[in-house]
Amino acid sequence: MAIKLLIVDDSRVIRNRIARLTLDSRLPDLQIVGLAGNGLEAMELASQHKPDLVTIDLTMPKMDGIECVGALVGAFPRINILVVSALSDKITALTAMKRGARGFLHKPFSDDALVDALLELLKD
Amino acid sequence: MRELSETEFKVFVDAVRGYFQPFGGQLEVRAAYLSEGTPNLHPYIGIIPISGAFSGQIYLSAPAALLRQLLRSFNEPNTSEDNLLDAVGELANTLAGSVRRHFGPDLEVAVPVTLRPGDPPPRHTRKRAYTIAISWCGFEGLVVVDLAAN
Repeated sequence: MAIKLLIVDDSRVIRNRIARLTLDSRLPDLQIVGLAGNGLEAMELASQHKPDLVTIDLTMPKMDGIECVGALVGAFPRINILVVSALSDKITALTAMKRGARGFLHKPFSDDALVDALLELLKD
Repeated sequence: MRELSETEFKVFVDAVRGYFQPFGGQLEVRAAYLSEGTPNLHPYIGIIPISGAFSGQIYLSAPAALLRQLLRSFNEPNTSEDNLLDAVGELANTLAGSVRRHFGPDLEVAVPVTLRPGDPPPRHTRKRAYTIAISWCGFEGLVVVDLAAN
């Protein structure tokens, strides 16, 4: 059965880039169930589709990524979340992990770095 | 309010170098200098308002050709104006976010504001701003750091 993936980023270009990279043959079968441009949209799509895996940006309008990570984990405790963000300080990464994210990938990222980060997350 | 030091400014130059590294292509930092007033800008601009321990803005201005090249690096076939604006905003956001490795979370980064060709240029908050002139894959761009420590 395919792993259900939700992609959250306020940049359409980045959402589409991540979507294309999920077709990499090293990854298991991923089914994209939604593309969200902010945390509120992400919560709506997550309620509808109950994703197994989420990639999420942090700096977004309406509801930022840190708040959204907490809300997603509160609603779906088994969800796997990879933060993909330009915010490169340690405190932000630690805060995201404390809220329940399981991985953190800094932007800018290479194609291989994203695939590797997803593979690492899906090991568990 | 305190002006940025040269050491702090170098963090931005390093961030610009780091941004393009994953995408290959030759990056050249052609000049880094203090400018008075708004420099001659390229048509697409991504602005990141900054607050917290610093105030002001960081912005990037680029021609369509540089942004199309960036989209090609992402394997993005759609090089519409909307995607060029999205790309310039994302580029500015990533540059601003990556300097938090040095400055920490007290440099608060807001969501990008983008300007399209013909829009009025950004209004500077400081009399003088640091400007970094770059060339990536032969396309020129400018990063302007209009920022002071509170």
